[in-house]
Amino acid sequence: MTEERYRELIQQGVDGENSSEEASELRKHVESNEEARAFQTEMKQVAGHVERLHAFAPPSSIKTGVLRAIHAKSHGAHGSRRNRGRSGDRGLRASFRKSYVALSFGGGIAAALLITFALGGFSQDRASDRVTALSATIGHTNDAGDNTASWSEPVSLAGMDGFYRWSAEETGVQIRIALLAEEPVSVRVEFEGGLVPLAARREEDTGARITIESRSVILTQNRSGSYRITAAHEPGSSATPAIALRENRVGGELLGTSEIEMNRTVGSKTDRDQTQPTLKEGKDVQ
Amino acid sequence: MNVDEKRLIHLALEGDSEAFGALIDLYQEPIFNSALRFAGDYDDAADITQTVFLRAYEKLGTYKPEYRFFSWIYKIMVNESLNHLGRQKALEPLSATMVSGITLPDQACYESELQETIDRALMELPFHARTVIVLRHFMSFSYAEISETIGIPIKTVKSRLFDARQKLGLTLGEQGLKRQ
Repeated sequence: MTEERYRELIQQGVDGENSSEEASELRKHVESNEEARAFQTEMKQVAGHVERLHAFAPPSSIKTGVLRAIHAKSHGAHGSRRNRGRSGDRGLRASFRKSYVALSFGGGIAAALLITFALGGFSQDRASDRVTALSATIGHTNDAGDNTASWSEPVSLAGMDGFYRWSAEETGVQIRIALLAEEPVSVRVEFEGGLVPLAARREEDTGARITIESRSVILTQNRSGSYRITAAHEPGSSATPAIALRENRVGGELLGTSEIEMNRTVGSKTDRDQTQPTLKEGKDVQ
Repeated sequence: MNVDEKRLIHLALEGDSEAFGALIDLYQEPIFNSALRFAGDYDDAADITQTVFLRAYEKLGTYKPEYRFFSWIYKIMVNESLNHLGRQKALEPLSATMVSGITLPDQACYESELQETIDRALMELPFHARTVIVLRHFMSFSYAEISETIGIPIKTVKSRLFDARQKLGLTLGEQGLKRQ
């Protein structure tokens, strides 16, 4: 038996794919060949290790979310003319420096959505004709131990010039939100008319920053377009969480500004606007 | 395809969302776990799984019943995973630290050093190698089923499995696990 042949039979044996004849052939060979025995043992050990990995139960929200989206889709078929027109944009992909793509689906559902917030800037969609003027509330909460402080301020989406594109008539849209923060934070997003809590994850980013990326959510009904992003520090954290905004104001006091970095590609065209952040030190609101 | 699955697909095509929900019940666990091993992140795997079923519903009319339904949605999952990975700068091994804010059902067990070591080794495999390992070990697919699902000859399935296990063995050996 050639080496290639017995290795093939050993693997098939590990996978239960040998015929009785092949199993017999392999058994005889292994009994008389020490190298083959060692290889067989090794293959079984590797396979055994992988088998020890656990399967995870998927979150129950998957089925619920899908069915809600299906429901929303079936009830959103009578969307506005503008919205139907935008469905042709489903293939659009915006590529941001920190890109996160939220894919819409369905015949009447609009295009990819991207939201990126960053201390060093957040992405901006300059295709202003695709930006709907929605009012929004963005804020964060600082839960540093027992100290809970927060600020929030209405921010005009029009004023943000499209860092967030969202037609008020759209339904069933998946949204992905990403934040950059200097420390681990949790994040959630509340949409007007309904709360969609988002579990955050974190991963190491370049430098010292942590990327916080929400899970996708599904809007189940028409939303008129306000939302609040809440970022909270882990207990014990001393630093101030920050979400980059063009202007951070509390009670009229400007806490800081951050300029915008944008790198968006539509088709072959790349649109970029980059400036540096000038964030001041954050300040808690008591 | 079994009768129930065929009936569920037929009903879903007629707009019966509950029937499609039953299909989700049937396949969300293997799809989710496969996505988890591709994406390396619990939340991302959930996102991918959700997107897979949304796309499956959207494209259900294009499904050809002569093929296995699972193979069809699995291909959607692979595409979604690849899209996801394309947006990632780098893969990271599965780790409980990557899923802050999430309480994993088996977290205590999952956090064991052994589990992480094996997962890390798995995540270091190239995507195509991981694919056959996932299908073989998490889906218990036969060579023929793997071949059909990802559209490669059985001979290639075998060679990819072999290479993947060789690499895993090497990595685990370096971790002192192989001879455990």
